[in-house]
Amino acid sequence: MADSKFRRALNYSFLQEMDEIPPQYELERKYVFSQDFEEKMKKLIKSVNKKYVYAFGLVLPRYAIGILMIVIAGSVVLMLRSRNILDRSTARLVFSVAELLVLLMFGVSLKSAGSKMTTSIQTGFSDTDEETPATELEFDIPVSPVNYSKSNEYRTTTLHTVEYKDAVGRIIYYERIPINGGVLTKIDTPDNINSCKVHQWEAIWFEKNGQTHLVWADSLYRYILKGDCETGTLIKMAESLYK
Amino acid sequence: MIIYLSLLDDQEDRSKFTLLYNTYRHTMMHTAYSILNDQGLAEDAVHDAFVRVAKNFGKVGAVNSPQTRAFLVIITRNVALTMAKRNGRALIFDEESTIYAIADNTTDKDFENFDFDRIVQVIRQLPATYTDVLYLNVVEGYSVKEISAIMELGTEAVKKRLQRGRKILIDKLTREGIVNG
Repeated sequence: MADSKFRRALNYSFLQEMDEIPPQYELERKYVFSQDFEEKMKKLIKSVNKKYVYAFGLVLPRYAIGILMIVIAGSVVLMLRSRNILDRSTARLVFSVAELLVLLMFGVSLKSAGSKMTTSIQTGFSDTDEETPATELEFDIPVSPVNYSKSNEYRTTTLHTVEYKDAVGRIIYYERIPINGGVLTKIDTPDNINSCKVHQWEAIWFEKNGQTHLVWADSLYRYILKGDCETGTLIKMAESLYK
Repeated sequence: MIIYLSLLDDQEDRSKFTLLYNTYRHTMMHTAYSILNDQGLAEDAVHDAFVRVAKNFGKVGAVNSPQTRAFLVIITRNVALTMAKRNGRALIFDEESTIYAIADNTTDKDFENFDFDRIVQVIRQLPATYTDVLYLNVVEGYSVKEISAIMELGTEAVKKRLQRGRKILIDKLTREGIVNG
């Protein structure tokens, strides 16, 4: 896809719009969901977890669709048989094939879903972030202050800047500046700059004031990530943005 | 029988859906409320938006990404605008009554001669009806068919919006150029 001026402008206008959305903690204070909504969402998430089927805008159990399809297939075969279009053995064969197909599509999945059902019901809906794998979130950088584990602390310092304290107490400073706009942060870099890669993007890292700095740019932003940790850790954190 | 069978098949997907809900429900609520100005209707819109997300789950990327956030905002806005239209709560841009003297074959190249900041400004003045489909098509690279599924619109309507959105932008930029020139 060509990176035309129009594409960049559209992207930038959307990024601006997204940045105008108040931070998560403000929204959490502003909007308290009703019990009805929570219940409805609980049902939706459960239905998703228990492998329901969305049909005609309705959430229907997968096995019910399977039964319905067997009934329809049976009716069609009987109708064809009554009109002498199919002989007895062909009708049996057609119905068996249809039944097998339906069982393969719905029955087998239902069986595998059944074994996971108990776990799904237990973990299917949670108002907390408890089920988020801690090992993954530990290194996730909050792109905007919406993604954080509740055990962690964060503080928005400017529109694109976040100080992030991870589970083991390391403070990581993260800054994101749109390429087509925003104020460019000036960094006084020391002489010993090392090059590396973040995902597919060229990056540099250096040590300054006891902190490791990692700087890179992708097609949308320039990023600065610094903290009292090893380069590998910073790169791992940076790459979590592109997961 | 038209049955939608886009199911969330493995454990990872199921956790992802819950994570999406926990991460973005407030952002989606904010988007819906700013259009509907009613808590109950906004909650309905967020719920319907999540149903649509489940139907288009294959198109959702990493949970913690600006693209996913934009994707969810677009879906919620689309659902909320449809509800607002149904309830007579929103002024919908009248697509048919506006006639532009710009040719139908407007492309991205036609924007190259205009100032970047002005393009951004004009895009931001454009109704979401157009910007959302343009974003999905031009930035995210979704096909007309995919956008039609995401927005629950006919393919012709999507094509029309893409074409008209570009035309309105070029028209505004060109007229401004003449006035300022």
